Amino acid sequence: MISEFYINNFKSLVNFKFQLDKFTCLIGLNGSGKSTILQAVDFTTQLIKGHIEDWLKTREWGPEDLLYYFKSTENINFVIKLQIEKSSYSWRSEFNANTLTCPNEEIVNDTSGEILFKVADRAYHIGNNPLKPIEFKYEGSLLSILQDEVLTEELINIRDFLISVKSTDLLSPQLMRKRARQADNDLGLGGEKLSAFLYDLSDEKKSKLNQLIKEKFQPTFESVETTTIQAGWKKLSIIEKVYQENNLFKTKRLSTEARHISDGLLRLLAILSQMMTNHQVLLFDEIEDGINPEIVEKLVDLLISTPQQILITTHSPILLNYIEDEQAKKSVIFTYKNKKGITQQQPFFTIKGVAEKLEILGPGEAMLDVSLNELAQELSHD
Amino acid sequence: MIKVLVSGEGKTDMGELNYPYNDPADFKKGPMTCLAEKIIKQRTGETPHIELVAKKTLTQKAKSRSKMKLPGKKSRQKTAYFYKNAYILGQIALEKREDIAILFRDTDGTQSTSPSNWKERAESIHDGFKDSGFQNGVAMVPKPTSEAWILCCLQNYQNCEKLEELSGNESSSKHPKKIIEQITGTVPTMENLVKIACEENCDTAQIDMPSFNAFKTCLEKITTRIG
Repeated sequence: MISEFYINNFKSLVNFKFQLDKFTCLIGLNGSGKSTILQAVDFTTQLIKGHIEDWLKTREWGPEDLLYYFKSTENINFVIKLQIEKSSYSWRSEFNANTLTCPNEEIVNDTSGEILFKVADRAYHIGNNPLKPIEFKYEGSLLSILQDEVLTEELINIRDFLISVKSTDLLSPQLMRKRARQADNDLGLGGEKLSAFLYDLSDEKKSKLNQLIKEKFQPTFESVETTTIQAGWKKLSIIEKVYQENNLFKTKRLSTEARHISDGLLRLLAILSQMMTNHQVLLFDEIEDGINPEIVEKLVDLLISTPQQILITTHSPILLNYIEDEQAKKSVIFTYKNKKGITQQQPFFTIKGVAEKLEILGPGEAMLDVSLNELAQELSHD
Repeated sequence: MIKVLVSGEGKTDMGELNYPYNDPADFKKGPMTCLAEKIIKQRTGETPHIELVAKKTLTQKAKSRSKMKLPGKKSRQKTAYFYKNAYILGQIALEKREDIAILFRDTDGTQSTSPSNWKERAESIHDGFKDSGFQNGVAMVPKPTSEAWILCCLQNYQNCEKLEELSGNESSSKHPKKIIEQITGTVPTMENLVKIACEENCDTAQIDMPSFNAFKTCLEKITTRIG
């Protein structure tokens, strides 16, 4: 899992560092930088995948949009600390917004202190192997193009872990309703490949997904149905079991095409389907959008118990209230902007006055009983 | 004999239970309990029977029993904490068939987490008592802290209203605790505060401070009604 994340000079994140738990939940006022944090994690892990220009296009950003507004440099520095099995690793890197590459990077095994991989001065080395010049073009991290044959097993594990970080911070029901041709095991940033993604899921995973929705969220739900139509486009429908009009003892199957499925159910499908994948870290922005408070508890329980690491943002006191106190103390992070417009963070239930409220109120109630605006001002003064 | 249930923040206000017996009736009375006792005694001529509910007991019960309280037009943000404490104390008072319940809370703390106005805190406490179904609940909310009321006795009841302008921030040299220390030359421990409020002649009739007057008037009204 990602245990710590540091980034400098990325949008409103300047010398920004935060610790992550297996389940981490960002709260804060609108515009405090919660989504920016998700974008930063997505950005850094995209560097391992390469294709930075494409990634920027998907977000409709230019390279300059990545940088802090009052930037003094074109470089974004970051450090990601990872815990993979029993070892700790740090990936330190510097990304240049002009070249779209990382001219300096280093992966260290923090447990042994060994440098596993290093890039500097247009050359790289792996372990104790000799330096090799970099005489080719690439985007992002050098690891995005190096073949498995030249990497150690440890490095492959780290790279694969970072590749498996998946953000769906732009999930949009409008995009999810679209038909898609190919998913390549990817839902798309906005969920635009949902139909093809579900089509590609194995029968076993589909059946697990169907059962999960039926048992926990919507009793009338039967299954997700994906079919190939002309030119390979995939059509998504859901099947529900409803009673016949003239005979309440008999049921019939009601098929609803994606364009008529509710926003909440589509979002739920997208979120739950990600839990069926091999992605090891999942990022969701405003996860509660369109989801009825009555089923939020089940969603929170799933997010906390899933083997994947989860990083979400929320404005929902209901969602927070379904997190156990001890978990909330570790997981809930308050984000705010200081007077310079720079995003800051603090574990919410370690803040004086807020921690006391948790003795008597639920985590969500405690959030509602604090003026986040005034809290941001007070913390900015400290 | 009037039965009174009190709960506060700790030993320097309402007092503390005697470990390990934890008998609610046999507790070390804090300075604020003494002031409450004096007010009741002045009205009835009798020493009331007082029991203490420790803050921890109250919060544990509040956490397990109470329903979610959302801020809205009828209930302002930052008041839920005070409301719920009073609601549960009211419920306990009803169960124990108490005559009066007193909930003590200071007016310190940060602006983001608590109403800055002591009246708003006291109102939340009264709302909590009322909603619990217990009619004789009293909010004891000194401004800024309990030591400001004790300080009034120490300075012979002169210009006490001004004491409400002292800082509630413990690190400030203008905090009532620091001023008591300057006057007495000793740290205002529970024992020292109890000595001033209980043993020496701290006259509740002479303390004239808006936050104290609100508490006293409410307690006197209820004592008269049930007496």
